Amino acid sequence: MQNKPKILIAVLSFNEAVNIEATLDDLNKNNFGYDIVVIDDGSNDETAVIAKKNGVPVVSHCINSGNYSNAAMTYFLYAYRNGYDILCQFDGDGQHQAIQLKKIIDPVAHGEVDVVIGSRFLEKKGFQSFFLRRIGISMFSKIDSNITGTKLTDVTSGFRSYSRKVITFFGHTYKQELYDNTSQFLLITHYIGGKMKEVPIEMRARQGGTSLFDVWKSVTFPLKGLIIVLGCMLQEKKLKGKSTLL
Amino acid sequence: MNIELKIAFILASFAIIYVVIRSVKKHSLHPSFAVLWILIGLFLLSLSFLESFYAYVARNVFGLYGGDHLIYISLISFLLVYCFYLTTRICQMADRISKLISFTAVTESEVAALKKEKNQNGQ
Repeated sequence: MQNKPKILIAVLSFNEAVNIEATLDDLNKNNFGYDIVVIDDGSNDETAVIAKKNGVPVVSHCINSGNYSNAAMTYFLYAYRNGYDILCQFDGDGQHQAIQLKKIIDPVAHGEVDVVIGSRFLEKKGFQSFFLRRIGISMFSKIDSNITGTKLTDVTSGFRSYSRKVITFFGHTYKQELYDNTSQFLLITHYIGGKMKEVPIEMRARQGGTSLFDVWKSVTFPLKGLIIVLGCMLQEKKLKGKSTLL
Repeated sequence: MNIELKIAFILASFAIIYVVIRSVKKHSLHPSFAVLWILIGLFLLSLSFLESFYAYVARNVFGLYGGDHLIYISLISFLLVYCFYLTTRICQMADRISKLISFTAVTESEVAALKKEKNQNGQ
């Protein structure tokens, strides 16, 4: 990799008008040379307007897609088209702290791995999420760990970074639909030969607004997740054949 | 089948065919789906005229008690298969919409950036 990689921080947001300004302030204060883009998933509030007022480019979905994986496909496409070497996902709800970005980015910048996931469960500091959700996270982390052979503890964490290879694959090569950017994303990355690791991070509780994770999603998440994992496993050969990373 | 039911089937089949033709004319129904619905209309029409044929097939081919059983089983099976087909179509459409959402969002941001650059160069 070149000496100074081009880094993009993609801030995911949907109706985050109460949080977005503080999130962008945090990112601007701790900026060590990265670009920021807000991926707005068709918010009904002033999220995009506030982000633009703060001088940050906004990529707005014309309608709300209702899932983060669509926003992920958008930031991969944006990062690929604009030639970024490293991409970092950062939530717009104030849960992530910009001061910890170096931890997430450094392993990718040094070429150690292709995906870094910030895990709140490695050191068990800060906000640990709700009990029922922790059970789901733990279950899928174990499944994904077994398949990938990498110890994973927080597969749903939205605090991640990706290498140029992953950006190219998901922004250009991969033409199918990404149903979730947790297990499916990690398993596809594994099957195409991408390496991944977790680093300990500290998360805060959501600073305001409401989470997308409602009761119905909490109930359907495990079942949907298992089907997605099964679908990925069935596609293993096909994905390995299409690999650009191997 | 009594005469009232036969008339009802005939009217229903003509109604379906009429609605389908009108929908095609208004471009609210694709020709491939129109063909399917016209076939359904013709099937309903056939129930009025080919009752004895369905009864014969039910008894001698499928070993069912009567023609009406065959019709119910055929209709339920068809509806299940058709539902599944529509579900897959909806999923394909949803996937395409997701891709279009991402594509238009990124393209729109690029156009905005180019416009901004052009304005700055013009000033």
